[in-house]
Amino acid sequence: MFLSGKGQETQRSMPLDVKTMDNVSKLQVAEDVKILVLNYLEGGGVFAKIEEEEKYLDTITFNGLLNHEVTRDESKKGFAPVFRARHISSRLGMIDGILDEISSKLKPKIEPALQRFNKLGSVCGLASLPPEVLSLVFSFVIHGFPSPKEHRSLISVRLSHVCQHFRRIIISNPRFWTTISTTAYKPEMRLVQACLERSQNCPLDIHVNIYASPVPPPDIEITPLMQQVWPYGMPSILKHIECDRAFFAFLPHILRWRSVHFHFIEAFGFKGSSDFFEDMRDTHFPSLDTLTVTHDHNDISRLENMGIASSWSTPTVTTLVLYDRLLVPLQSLAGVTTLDVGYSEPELAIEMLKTLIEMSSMSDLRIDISKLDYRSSTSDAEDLHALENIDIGIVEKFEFVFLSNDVAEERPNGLHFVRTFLSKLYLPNAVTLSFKAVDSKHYSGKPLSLDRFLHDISERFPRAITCNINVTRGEPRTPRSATYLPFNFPANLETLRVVCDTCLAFSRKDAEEETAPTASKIRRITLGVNSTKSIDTRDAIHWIRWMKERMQKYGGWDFFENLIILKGVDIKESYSLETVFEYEKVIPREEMDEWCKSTYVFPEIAMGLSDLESRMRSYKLWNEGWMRIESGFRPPPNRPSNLDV
Amino acid sequence: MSTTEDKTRKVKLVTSDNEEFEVDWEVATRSVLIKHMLEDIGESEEQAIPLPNVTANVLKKVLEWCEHHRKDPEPAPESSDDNRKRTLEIGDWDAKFIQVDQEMLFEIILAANYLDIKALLDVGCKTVANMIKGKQPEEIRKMFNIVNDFTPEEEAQIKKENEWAEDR
Repeated sequence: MFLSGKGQETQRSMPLDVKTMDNVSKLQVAEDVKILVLNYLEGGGVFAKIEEEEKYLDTITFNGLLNHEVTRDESKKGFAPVFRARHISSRLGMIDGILDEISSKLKPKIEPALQRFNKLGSVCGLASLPPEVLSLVFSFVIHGFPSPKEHRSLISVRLSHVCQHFRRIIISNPRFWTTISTTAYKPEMRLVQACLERSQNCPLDIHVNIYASPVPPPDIEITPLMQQVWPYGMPSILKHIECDRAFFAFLPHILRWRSVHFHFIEAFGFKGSSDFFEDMRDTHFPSLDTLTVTHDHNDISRLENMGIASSWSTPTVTTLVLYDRLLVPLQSLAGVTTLDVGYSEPELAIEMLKTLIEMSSMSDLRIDISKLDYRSSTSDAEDLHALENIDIGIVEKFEFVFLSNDVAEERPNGLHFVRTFLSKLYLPNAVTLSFKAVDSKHYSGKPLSLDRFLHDISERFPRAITCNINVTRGEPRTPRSATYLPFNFPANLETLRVVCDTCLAFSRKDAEEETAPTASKIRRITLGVNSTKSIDTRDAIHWIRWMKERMQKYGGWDFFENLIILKGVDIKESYSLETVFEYEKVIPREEMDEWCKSTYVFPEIAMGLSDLESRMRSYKLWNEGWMRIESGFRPPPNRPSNLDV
Repeated sequence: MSTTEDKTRKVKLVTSDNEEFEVDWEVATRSVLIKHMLEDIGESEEQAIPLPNVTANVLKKVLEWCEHHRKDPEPAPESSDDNRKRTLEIGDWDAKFIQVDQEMLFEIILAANYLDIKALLDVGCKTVANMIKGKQPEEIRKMFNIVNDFTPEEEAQIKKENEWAEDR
């Protein structure tokens, strides 16, 4: 049955016909495989017996055979030693071939087996969850952020259609029916009614669509100045507002309103009920804790109708979310603890800053100026500059959202304006800071100097313990539009998270010159770095090394626990590029010295760069006026150097 | 409120399969159940805490989470009525931690529920929620081998409810 007269390679590639094997041969192969596996498992020589035979065959020499007779095998068809060698070769080839075939039949079984194992894990796991835990899972599905595309109450409906067990949990729990929103222009009224019933007496979180229609411009004489401002004639003003049927379904439940979101949209010919705000004059909202006002059209931002809110009694309101609205509509702002505001008009933003001081209970502040249009007026910066600093001692959590390209000076004086805005705030007790630079979706060819932008956060927010910095920028991400890593941090900072999708740069020279020799309390640094091969992030290592050396020199190294690396992967969406960051690894303090010796954050990716590519990139950088020095990039010539605001 | 003495103290935990774990007090007390049990037994350091509902391989994983989060502030008490601040986002480290096989995922959830570790329970439930999110009832049934067991009357009601999304 052994294959004969062929080399091992040939034998391995021959298909094995096990059907033609006799039983003795099959038993012998099974025994061989069994011995092979047992020897392997016991850690001994896998081919102990064969190896003995091989040793003997290796001792046979020409001279030895001359002195003795060259023996023939039993069948007299060949030389006995050759027969024995061929036997070993055939036997090994046969075992290898059989194992190969078994392995090739096993491989397609492994994936389904793994899927079955995982599926049964989830089937049994889900069945073992007590109803209160399954209810918690559902509450994340229904209420979890980021917001779903469909109405939250529709998610409840769908979950209740899976099986009787799910339906019992969903229908019997009124909390799954408390968030009610409808489609603009065409509200789903039966769904609204079902939610109002199934939510029983629970507090409601409702979304009200308000439709704004254009009012023709006044019939006045157009002066030359007006002609300059509106060359195509005076625009219509969106002022006439209406509501749909959903609002009137909500109205009888006003005592249950816990949060209300008024969303202004352009009417586009929609005809509903007007004067409904007038009907709400002097209304008492005993349970209302959150008031949100947003719009989807810039022209709507100037609507004055929310002035009606000054007649409302809202004793329990603690959260205001206002986009392009002043803070004045409510009778009192003293009870507000959370404020989330965003502006497109500079004068509204400046007015808001002035009003902040009235909010004596505010602990959570979020300001979004990413849509602020300050280009049209040069006096905006002057007005802002003239504003007194605002000291809000009670704020504990602060988030600031701005446009990456503003800080990168794509707009003239962008960095100056945004820094001035931020510098007006003094939050001595803020413990959690978040700075979010968002993508403008426009080409950007300038560096983003986070180091300069955040230069004085230690003075503005001296008691910060946690700081999150997130930078998102548009394409292309060239070294020229790198983000300069910051180096001035509040003295009590314990956790620092910096996530950025661009090339990274760090100026050690500036950092050395502009930071005080103080001890650090940083325990954990999380660093999110783009792993795309063409994006140079090597300075992240210089930056971490500099911080490590400072901690070792001025104190704080003992506090430090670890560095967490997040790996950013670019994902091409239909019209844009999004970087998704995922946890990659933890580098504990003991391994930091070694890690800081690396050249690349993700060596396995950077290894792909050929020397030629590297040299070409260096040459390109040189030509662009960049010089690589041992500590990182030097600022390009056009980088602003004035740190004064 | 923990004292400096507490922080250096060791705690012994015994699993359902009789494996013993010795961990720092600060790590063990991420579990409210263990914390209360320790308060009940007082200063007795030798006494091991029995955990009859948790096996060793699951406790090992849970303790890995507790170790990483040992210095996290105590979670603020949450109103069960208020769902508005629920986020499906999972922290960077937690996201990697919870990348386990499905059986272990649900075992972690059950253990976190039993040991009363709210933050870990949330991580597990969010992971399952992310699996369910955006799926139609039939897809959820397929994912978890759930049989459609509605009566004809219930089916008729469901058919009506399906029209809610469409009626305008």
